[in-house]
Amino acid sequence: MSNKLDTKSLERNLPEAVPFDNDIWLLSTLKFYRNFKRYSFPDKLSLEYRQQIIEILENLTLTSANIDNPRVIRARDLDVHQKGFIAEHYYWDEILQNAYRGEGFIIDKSLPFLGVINLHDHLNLQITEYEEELEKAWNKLVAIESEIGHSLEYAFSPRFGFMTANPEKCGTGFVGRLFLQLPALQHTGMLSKVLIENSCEYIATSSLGKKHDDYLGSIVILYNNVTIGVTEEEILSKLHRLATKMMVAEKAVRTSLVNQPNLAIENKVLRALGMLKYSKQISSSEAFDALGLIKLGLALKLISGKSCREINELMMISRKSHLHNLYGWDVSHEDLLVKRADLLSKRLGALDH
Amino acid sequence: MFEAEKPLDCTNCHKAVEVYYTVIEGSRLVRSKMCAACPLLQKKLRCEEHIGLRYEGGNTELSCPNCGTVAEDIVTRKGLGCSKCYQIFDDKIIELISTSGSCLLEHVGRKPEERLLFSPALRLVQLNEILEETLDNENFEQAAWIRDQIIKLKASLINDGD
Repeated sequence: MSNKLDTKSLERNLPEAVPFDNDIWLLSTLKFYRNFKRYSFPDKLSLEYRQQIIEILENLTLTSANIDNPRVIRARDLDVHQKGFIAEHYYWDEILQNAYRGEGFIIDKSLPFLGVINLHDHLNLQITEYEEELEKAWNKLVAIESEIGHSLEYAFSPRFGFMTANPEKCGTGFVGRLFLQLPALQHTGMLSKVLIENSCEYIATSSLGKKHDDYLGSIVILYNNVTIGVTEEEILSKLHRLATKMMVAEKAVRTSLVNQPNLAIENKVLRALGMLKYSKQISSSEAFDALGLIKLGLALKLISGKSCREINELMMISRKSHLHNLYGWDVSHEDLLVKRADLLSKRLGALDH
Repeated sequence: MFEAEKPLDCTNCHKAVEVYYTVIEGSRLVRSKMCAACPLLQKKLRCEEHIGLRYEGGNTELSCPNCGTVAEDIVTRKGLGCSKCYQIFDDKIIELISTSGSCLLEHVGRKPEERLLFSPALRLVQLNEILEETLDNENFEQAAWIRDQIIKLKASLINDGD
């Protein structure tokens, strides 16, 4: 069976973009970093051995009891756009476009699970979940990881735990990321204060933007910046706890905005609406920020006509690689700005003040 | 300060001494001196198993004998090359990890093949704690929302139990 995928086929082999209704807690990713004891780490490994690892993992996943519909794709069979698409689809936090000859991907059409082979570690395993059920996602990820570990012993030491190429990921070799959308906190200028008040050990924040505090689309990513000297249970518990507190804070500010209308916020929301409905060109970051304000506007009942789910879907498909997948990979950057504006304008036509 | 000695095999070598080689044997330091081209030095560098030494033009630096990673690779965050690097560079790794904010520089989490599964009931405990804090702060509307989450979670736990 050929592992080569065309553009549309790639999207058909991925789980469908989940139609999530989530208002504030958008999604979470749980990721393991793992290496196998018998091999040097990928950067020091010959191509032959890296390909051997891909073949072994392919055989293991095809017989897996925990991955329903697995497919192993070699990175050499994907072009740079398709790799970018995979990174976007799974909210992968590292560049995949450099993956080429000795790297591969494990995907499952029925589960938002991604395995990346030989990027910097032999195996990264990630599950994306959309229902605030971190424990269930964890159990699923551990089941997949343990099943592979039965056949291929992981590099592990009692002192350093799971040994990773980046020593700052050793120990649990586990990073959880929670994506929260907090437009009320951000646009009332309260976000930093609330983050500082609720800060806790081992948890940091980042954003989808280039700077860690850009908070593009009002999306704040909570993640553990420590992986050793802490248990997995502590990590999940702290993440979950902080996320709940941030959600409570966001809801409190939204309530106060409903009870005491804020002209500045209303102005921002309506400007965003105008930009999305009437722009001829719009960048990804502009679209994200505007859609974040639209969600706030809907929550405050300043505007109506679309559901949370529809806005979430637009946030997903208006990103660069997803738009390329829709309109063609040869669309130029300038044309993409136009296509994005056109798509958003048409899909948000029903939105009104 | 103890004196370095030439290896016996090098008694008749008249080349300039350029390398001082020190080995810690238990509580003893054994110091040798030799020329840069000394075959005994090359043998020592190749045969070291528990630590790696790479010799380049009179300078030696710590390197992994398995994959060739050097200490500089850790400092410059280039990454480690294999599991053995963790043994060779343990001090440097501890130094690096300690800057990341971890208080305890030792693994306390799960081991391979340990099926550590979490019950959603843990979430229930957490929500109840946050509910109490929210009530203490008199955020009653937010407390109502948390109470709804608790009810939803309890219902989900009952369904899963079925």
